[in-house]
Amino acid sequence: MLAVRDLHAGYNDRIFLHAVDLDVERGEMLAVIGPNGCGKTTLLRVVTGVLTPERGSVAFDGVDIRDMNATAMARSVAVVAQGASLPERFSAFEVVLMGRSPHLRLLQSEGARDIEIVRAAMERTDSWRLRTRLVEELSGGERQRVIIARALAQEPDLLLLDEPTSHLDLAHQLDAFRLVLDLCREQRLAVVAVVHDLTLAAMFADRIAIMAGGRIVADGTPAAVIDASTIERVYGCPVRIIPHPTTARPIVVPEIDVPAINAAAHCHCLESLPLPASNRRNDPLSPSGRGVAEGRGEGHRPRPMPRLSCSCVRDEAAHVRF
Amino acid sequence: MQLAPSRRLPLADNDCAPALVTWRSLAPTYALAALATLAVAIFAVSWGTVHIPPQTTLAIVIHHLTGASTGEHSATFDAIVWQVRMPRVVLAGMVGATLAFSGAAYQGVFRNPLAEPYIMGVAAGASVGATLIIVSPLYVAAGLLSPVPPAAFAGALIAVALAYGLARVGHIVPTTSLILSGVAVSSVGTSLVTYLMLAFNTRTLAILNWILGGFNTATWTKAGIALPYMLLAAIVVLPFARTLNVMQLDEDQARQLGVNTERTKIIVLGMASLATAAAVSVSGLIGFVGLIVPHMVRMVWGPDYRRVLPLSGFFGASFLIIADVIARTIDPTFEVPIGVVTALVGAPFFLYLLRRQQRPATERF
Repeated sequence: MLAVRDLHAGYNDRIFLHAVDLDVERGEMLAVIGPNGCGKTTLLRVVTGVLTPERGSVAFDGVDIRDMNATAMARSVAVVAQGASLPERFSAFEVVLMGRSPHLRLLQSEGARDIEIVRAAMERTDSWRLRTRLVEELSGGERQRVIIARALAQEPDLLLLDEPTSHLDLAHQLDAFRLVLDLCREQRLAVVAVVHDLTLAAMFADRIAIMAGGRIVADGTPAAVIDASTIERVYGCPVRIIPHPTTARPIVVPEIDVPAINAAAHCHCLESLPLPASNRRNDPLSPSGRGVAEGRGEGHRPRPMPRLSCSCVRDEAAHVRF
Repeated sequence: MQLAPSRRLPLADNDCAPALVTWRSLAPTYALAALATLAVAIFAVSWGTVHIPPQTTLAIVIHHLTGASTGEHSATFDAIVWQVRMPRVVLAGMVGATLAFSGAAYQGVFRNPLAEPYIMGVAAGASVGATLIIVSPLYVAAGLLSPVPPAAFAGALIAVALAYGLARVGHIVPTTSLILSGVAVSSVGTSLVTYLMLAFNTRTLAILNWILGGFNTATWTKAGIALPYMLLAAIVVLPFARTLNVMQLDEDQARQLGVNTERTKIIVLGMASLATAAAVSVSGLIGFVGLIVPHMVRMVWGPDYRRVLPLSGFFGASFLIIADVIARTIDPTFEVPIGVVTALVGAPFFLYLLRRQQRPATERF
C-alpha cells in the first residue's frame, strides 16, 4: 500500500533521510524505532506530504504523493500524533466530525452519512459516550481515543502514529495499541507507528524498522531485528534481550550499573495503599490476611515502615518507593 | 439580557447523535440576528437631540428604499433621517460588522485570542497614509474629493503586504512570524505618525481627529465606496468557515485533514485586511470592536465559525451603532470619540462575560 523508494529529505539543505526504502501492506502494522534525531519524525512528515522530498518517491497504491493534493492525501492517510492539541470548547463529536473534512467540498456541511461514519468510528474506539463532552475536559486516554476516532472517520488506507502513547499510563498505552492493532486487522489498514518504547513496539508490531542516522538499518519481524548487538549499536547503550514470559516476544532490558537502593529509604508496600476493593481481591501480590489487622482500608494508611522490617520485602516489585 | 451559559451540551443519556451544524440549520439564527440589527439601526436613527418616533423613521426609510408612499412626513424629519442620521448609522453598522467579522477571521487563522484586525499593520499603515496627506499641501479639510480615505486605504494595504512579505519563509508563512512582523510594521508606522504629528504641529489636531475616528462626517458616498470591499470579503471568507474550524486544531493537523493552510491563510487574511482597510479609511481607528465582539459571540454561541463569522458581523454592527449613538448624545456640547465609548462600554461587558466563563467547571455543568 505504502511504498517509499530511495527517499532523501531534509530541512534547509541538510539531509536528514538517506536512501530510505519501506513497504507497508494493508492489514500490516509496522513500528519504526530509533534514537532521538534518527529521522523517524522526518519520515512521517514526508509521508504525510508536509515535507517535500529532495529525491526519491512516496506512493500510495502506486500513486505518487506529488500527484495528490492535500485533500486526496487526507482521504488516504490519517495521522495520530503525540500530544496533538485539540481546540478548546469543541465537543468530542465535533472534533471527530472534523475527520470528515477531506470528504466535503468547501461550502458543504456534514450530513447524515457523515454522522453514521463518525458514530461507527466513535463506537469502535469506545468514545461515543464522550460525544457531548468538551475536549478540554477529557483525560489523556480519552483524548487519544477521540483522536484515533477522528483518524478512522477519515476512512484512510494508511494510519500513521507518531509516538501515540508517550504520555499515557501503562494500561492506556496497552489499550491504545491493542485498539490500533485490532483496527489494522479488521479494517485492513496499513499502520506505521513511530514508537519509543521498544517493548511496546515488539509486543504489537508485525514488523519493526530500526532507523539510525537517517537510514533504515534493520527491517523485519520483532524477533529478527531486536537483538542485543543491533540495539546496542543504534542506541549506544548495552542491553540484554529477554523473551516475554507468555508471548516470547523480545523485551529489551538495559544493562546498567545502578547504585544499590538506599537501605534507609522508607517504603509503602502495596498492602498499605488503599487500593480499590476490586483490585485488592485479585491482587496476587497481597499476602492474604496481612495488613487487615493493622487497620488497612477505609482510606486509612498506616505509617510508613522502614524497608527492612516491611513484610513483603521478598518481592521488590511490590514496593512503591516514595 | 439572559445569556445562555457557555456550551451547555445535553448529557449523553440517550443514544442520539448531537445535532449537526449546517448552513441551513443556522438560517433562523442569522435571520434573527439580522432583524435585531435592523431594529437597533431604526432606534439609533430615531434617537438624538431631535427625537423622531421609530415608526416615522421606519416609514421614511421604507419610502426612500422602495419609493412607496408611506404617508406625509415633515421635510425636516425626512432630511434628518435620510441625509444626516441614516448614512451615519449605516456606515457605523458597516464598519462595526467589518471590524468584528475580520477580527473573528484573524483570530481563526492565527488561533490566537488576542488577534484583532489591526494586528497585521492595517491601522498603522492607514494612519501613515492619512497623516502624509493631512500634512501635505494636498489636504482638503473635508469634502467628497478628500484624498485622505484613498491614502489611508493604500497605506493599510501596503503595511499588510509588507508584514506578509517579511514573515514569508520560502512558500510558507508561519503565523507567529506573521504576528511579529505585523507588530514590527505597526510600530514603524506609529513612530512615523508620531514624528509627523510633532513636525507639523499645526496639523496635529487634524491628525488626531482622524486617528480617533468617528462617523460625524459620514455620507452615503463614503458608505457606497466602502461597501463593495466589505461585501467581497464576506462572500469570499464565509465559505471558509468550516475550514477555519479544522484550522483550530493546529496547522499540522489541519494539513493532515486536507486543508491547504497556506492558501486559506492568504485568502482569509487578505480579504479580512482589504475590508478592514476600507473600514479604517472611512472611519479612522476604532479599537476593541474587532477584538471583543467575536469573543462575545463565541462565549454565547460556541466556537463553530459558521456561527462566529456571521454573528460577529451582525453584533459588531449593532455594537458600533449603539456606541455611536452614545458618542453623539451623551454630551450635548461635545462629541465623545467613539473609540472611547467602545472601550468604556465594551470592556466591562467583556469582563462580565469572561468572569462567567471562568467559573469552575463543576458550577457550569
